[in-house]
Amino acid sequence: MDPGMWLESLGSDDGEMLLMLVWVLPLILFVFYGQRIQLHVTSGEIQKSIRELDSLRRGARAELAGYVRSCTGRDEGAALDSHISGFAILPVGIDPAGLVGKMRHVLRSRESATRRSIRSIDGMGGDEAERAQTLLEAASALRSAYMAVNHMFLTAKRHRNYPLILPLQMALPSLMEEARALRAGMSAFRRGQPVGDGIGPLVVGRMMLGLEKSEPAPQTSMASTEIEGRRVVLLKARGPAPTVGRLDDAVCSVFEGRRVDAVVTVDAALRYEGQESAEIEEGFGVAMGGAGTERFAIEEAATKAGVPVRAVVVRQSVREAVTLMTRQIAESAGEARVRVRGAVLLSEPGQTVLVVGVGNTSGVPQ
Amino acid sequence: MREVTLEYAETRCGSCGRAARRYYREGDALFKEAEACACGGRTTVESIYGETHQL
Repeated sequence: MDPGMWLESLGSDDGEMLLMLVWVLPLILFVFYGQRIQLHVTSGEIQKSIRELDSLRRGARAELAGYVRSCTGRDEGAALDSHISGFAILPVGIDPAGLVGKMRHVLRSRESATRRSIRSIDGMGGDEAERAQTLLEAASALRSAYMAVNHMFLTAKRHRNYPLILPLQMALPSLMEEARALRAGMSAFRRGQPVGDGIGPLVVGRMMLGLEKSEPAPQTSMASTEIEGRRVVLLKARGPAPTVGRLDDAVCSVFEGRRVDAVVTVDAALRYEGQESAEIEEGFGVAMGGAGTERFAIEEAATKAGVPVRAVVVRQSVREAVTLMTRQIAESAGEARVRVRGAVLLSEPGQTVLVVGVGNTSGVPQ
Repeated sequence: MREVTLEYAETRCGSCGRAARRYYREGDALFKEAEACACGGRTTVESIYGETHQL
């Protein structure tokens, strides 16, 4: 049709009808099939992420199996699979009294059982077992992420229910970022290199060099020193194996054994968007991640004793926290140590200050 | 765009204080003794880190 004639026809009755159809038809279509259309459009994007998650979890499993094979000379894939798919059911929260203790018990039971199983494999022991356990935790987390995302997606698709897929669509970008970071970080843990999260142990580990050490709790190291008349008790996970130690038990044992006048925690903390990496900040409270059970125990011990708890944190991204330490973060260790020293000096001469280096101590001895 | 992370170790001599940066080698560990310094002193690994470059 000639464009001029077409424009003229728009003014006629037929043209008005055509124009109405152009507007009304999609409207009707969206009213009745809007959700399905949105589901279809979003599906492609989510399926792409699910395929990537699947590849990440398979890669993680292969890296773990390869590491164990390199230590034992045998394929232990089947035994590892049962641990990778292992889970922990957290206690019910209907009656919150004693919830933290129950959570701690469940998480510790799982951790101890996994450790025992790994160590029961012939040829696995010492640092190798700790590394394998860390790799196992990463592989297990990636598997759980894949299973959960895939489940939500397939459920939404089966019921053709777009609202079901909305929370998934919103959470997926940060979840994928964490999953990619976890997979990328496995190489550092396997090779015993320091990761960004190890900045706390790095700061305290350097302060512990040359001092006599003891083990107040499993996989935890302690030493004592003096800074300008203040007695300083240093605590960190025992490196260089990749572990976070049992700092809560160690802190409680220190509080039971002597008078503590202040606590200083040093840890990595997530940076805000737009904030520079390796920025050091100071504040109050226990700087510690994880499920919260360890932090709870330290907070309780400090509250009972009525002592101030200070925090020195080194800001970083999720990826930086679990992958090989970046130059900026490594270079911030010196400044962080100065800040810790400053926090110690806020106490009076003759007092005792407990300094805790929080984080994964992979590649960081003391 | 591809990312490549180069791994480095920084060493420092306990005698002359000379600092050096080289590529990370398997077996390097923080605070561990590394290669001998040009002055004959002992060096230790002070820092291990990665630098990520976009290709």
